[in-house]
Amino acid sequence: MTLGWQGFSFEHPDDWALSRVTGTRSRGFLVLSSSGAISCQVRWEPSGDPSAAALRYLKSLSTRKNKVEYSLSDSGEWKRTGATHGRGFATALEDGRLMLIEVMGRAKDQLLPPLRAASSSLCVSRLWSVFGLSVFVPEEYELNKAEFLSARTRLTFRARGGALTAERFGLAAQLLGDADLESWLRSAFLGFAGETHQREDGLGLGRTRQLMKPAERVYARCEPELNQMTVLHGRGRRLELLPEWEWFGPIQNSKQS
Amino acid sequence: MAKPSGWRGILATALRMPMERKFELDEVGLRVWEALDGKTTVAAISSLLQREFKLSRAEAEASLGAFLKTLAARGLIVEP
Repeated sequence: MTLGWQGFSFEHPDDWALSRVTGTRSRGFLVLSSSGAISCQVRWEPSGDPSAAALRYLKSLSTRKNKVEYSLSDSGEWKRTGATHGRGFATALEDGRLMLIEVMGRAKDQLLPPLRAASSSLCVSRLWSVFGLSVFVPEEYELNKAEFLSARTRLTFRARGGALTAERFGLAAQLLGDADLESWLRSAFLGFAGETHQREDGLGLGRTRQLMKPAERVYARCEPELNQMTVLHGRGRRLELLPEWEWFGPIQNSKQS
Repeated sequence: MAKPSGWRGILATALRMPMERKFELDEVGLRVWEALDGKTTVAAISSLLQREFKLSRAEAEASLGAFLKTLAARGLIVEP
């Protein structure tokens, strides 16, 4: 599966899920936890030397009580032992940001395969992919709020002249009940009027800019194989900030995470 | 439906309050309720939700945990 967050993405095992996240596009921290003892932490900073950052990080782990043994290669890859075992790497992204990714677990856990998968797939990306939500969002949009609710993931973005909500609803069949998608969408978005664009895999509603109201667009994609639905809702003065069908990302088709 | 007992039962009788409480469950809640037979483990119910409602592991566990807490807070289930 793919994690897409704050302008980068990488592949991770299917049973990993986001368990902690904080920060902004320039600096932040997140943790992915597996169903077992393995977890993965990701740190990103505006810029820096990868090897120096890796060394700084490894030195910060040792305390008087817990001595951490580590080996660090010139390429910024490390292996550490101690109370927790870890394998990680530090690298500079194409956009200049510094990334540190470390997979942690017990001595018997296979830490290298998921680390290799992450390092070979890590890239700068507009994809936001988490908990079944998968959407491409223009770089201009900044994340304003992230809500991870039961069977519902909601990301709210802000930009100058536009606002966007990307939402993934689990239990779509139960949520819709007997209602059809269009009536549910209109009801959920408070009687949102406008033109309807029907598609094989979803539906769009759009309204052009009016005197006192910005343009507004709601697109919904049904993903019945996962019993879920992704909804993009944008409003603003600038048309390029309103959602397009192409903003829907690849469906993260796994039921393990 | 659950009948009040003890002081609640006495008060319900004295004040002519309904002797039964009704809880409406949605489709998922009903499925969990049916699975709560005292034998099926929480992990097995989580797997059931993942399988039948195509929920991910993380959201099945989170939903189930929250639902079980609600049921326990209302005295409808007890911890073993």
